[in-house]
Amino acid sequence: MRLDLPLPPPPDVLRRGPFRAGAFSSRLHDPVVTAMVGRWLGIAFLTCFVTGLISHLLQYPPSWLVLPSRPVWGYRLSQGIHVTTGLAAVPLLLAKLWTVYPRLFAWPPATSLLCALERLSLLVLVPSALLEVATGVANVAQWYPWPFFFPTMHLWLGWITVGALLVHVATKAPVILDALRRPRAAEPAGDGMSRRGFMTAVGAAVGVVTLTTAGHTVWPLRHLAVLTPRRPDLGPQGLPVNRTAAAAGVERANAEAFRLEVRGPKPYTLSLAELRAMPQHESELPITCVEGWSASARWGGVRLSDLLDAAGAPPDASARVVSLEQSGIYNDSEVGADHARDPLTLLALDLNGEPLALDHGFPCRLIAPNRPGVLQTKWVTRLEVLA
Amino acid sequence: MKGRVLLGAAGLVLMAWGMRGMLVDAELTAPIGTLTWLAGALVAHDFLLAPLVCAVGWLLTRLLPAEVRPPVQGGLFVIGVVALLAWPLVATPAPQVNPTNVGLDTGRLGVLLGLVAAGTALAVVRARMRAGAARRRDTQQSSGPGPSNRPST
Repeated sequence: MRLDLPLPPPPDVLRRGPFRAGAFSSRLHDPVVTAMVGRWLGIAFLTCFVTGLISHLLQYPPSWLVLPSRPVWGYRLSQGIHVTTGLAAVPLLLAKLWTVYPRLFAWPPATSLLCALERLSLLVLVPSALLEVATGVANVAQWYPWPFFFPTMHLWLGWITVGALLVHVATKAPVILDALRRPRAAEPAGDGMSRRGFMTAVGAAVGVVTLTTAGHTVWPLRHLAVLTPRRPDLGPQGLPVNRTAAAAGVERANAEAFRLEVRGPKPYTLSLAELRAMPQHESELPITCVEGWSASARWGGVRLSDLLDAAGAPPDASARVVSLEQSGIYNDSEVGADHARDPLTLLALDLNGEPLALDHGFPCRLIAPNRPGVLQTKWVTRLEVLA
Repeated sequence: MKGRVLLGAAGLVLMAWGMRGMLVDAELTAPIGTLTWLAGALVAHDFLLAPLVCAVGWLLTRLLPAEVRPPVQGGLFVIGVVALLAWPLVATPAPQVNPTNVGLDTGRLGVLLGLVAAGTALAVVRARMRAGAARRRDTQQSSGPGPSNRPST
């Protein structure tokens, strides 16, 4: 079967409403404009895809990969880029789709089999791109009005979206290349908004979105963070909280009765006083959440490597920290060997010079460099050496 | 052509990998739920949002002189994007659950929208002045070579 098999045109009586010739009058419905916005949108989607995969790898490390604990700010930077770029993609995606909106009502709907296939592929790309961006935006506000688990759906839809995007670029390559090569002077005549005006408006929207959201991770912009729910300076002890003790169902542990259980070749338990009697260290480390906010803080406590050494753990052993939190998927986490042996990795007792607030994980919590916030396990009650 | 085929094939592989993941993790991705939301996203954009934008554009062509329309359209676009991004902050009841989730600060949002409106107003004034200057140039040209505006040296 030949793919360029021509299809018979539908009867003209069906050509009504938006299907009429000239139904869309703006001179901006033009491949040159589409390619100009599409180029930026494509860069944004690829950036989000790469940083999204980094985030996924750090949260669900595969057994064959040793993740580095440095640079300290690695995850903070990559997730900051992921969320900031994803938010900036909102105006880009809307603008891009608007420029091609008349194509939805192209007449005849398809001239050949190949053309029909190409249009059908958009039935994957357009809803995927819309839902991928929309779920990301809602996740920043921790709003989950849907029946799926956000991280997993967002990951797999990301693969589908970027795959469909590559197919789209491959099928449209001649139009894109022609549009980008054409001189700017070729703008169609008319009195409506010009290309330059359109790109200025899109750029202004991207600028406003970036300036009013990046502040949840870029400290100097924190006072401008209007469109994100968190500010890096607001919270107990000057630090935001993603999951409160109340939300996790954790009550304040009795400081006298609390014991940290350490399981390993040489198991032992420690009271809070004994933990404080061990060599104390300070680390300046950020908390970085997948939702995009991050904030640096000064943590004080015991080095995880000291606790592991005391338990007779071999230097290449990884560890598991278990929380007082009874349920929930993040009530324990694994610490790979590189992170476990990093001198900055602490079982923290203090935050910014005071004992941890309950919402920050009293009596003790894990804090490690280059690690997603959901894995910085709070309210730690048990440490296990893994083989 | 070879590059295009390779790119398209790579795209198909990525899509297949994503769809495989959706099905393998079906318990978490709820494929029927995901498909419903995909259809919802398409309908919400193609048959609600985009027609609404077209309707507003059509109204603007009836209500505004041509020269001020572009800056007003640009300003409305920025305001629309801000409104879309503010929506989840209004929709989540999170501030009661978590005090560090400060939700939407309506005062700050008001200031932001005011700044966008002010920027739009400036762009409108600039567009009007430019259009006025162009009109004056046109009348001067059509009334023949009048006295030069340039000071004689």
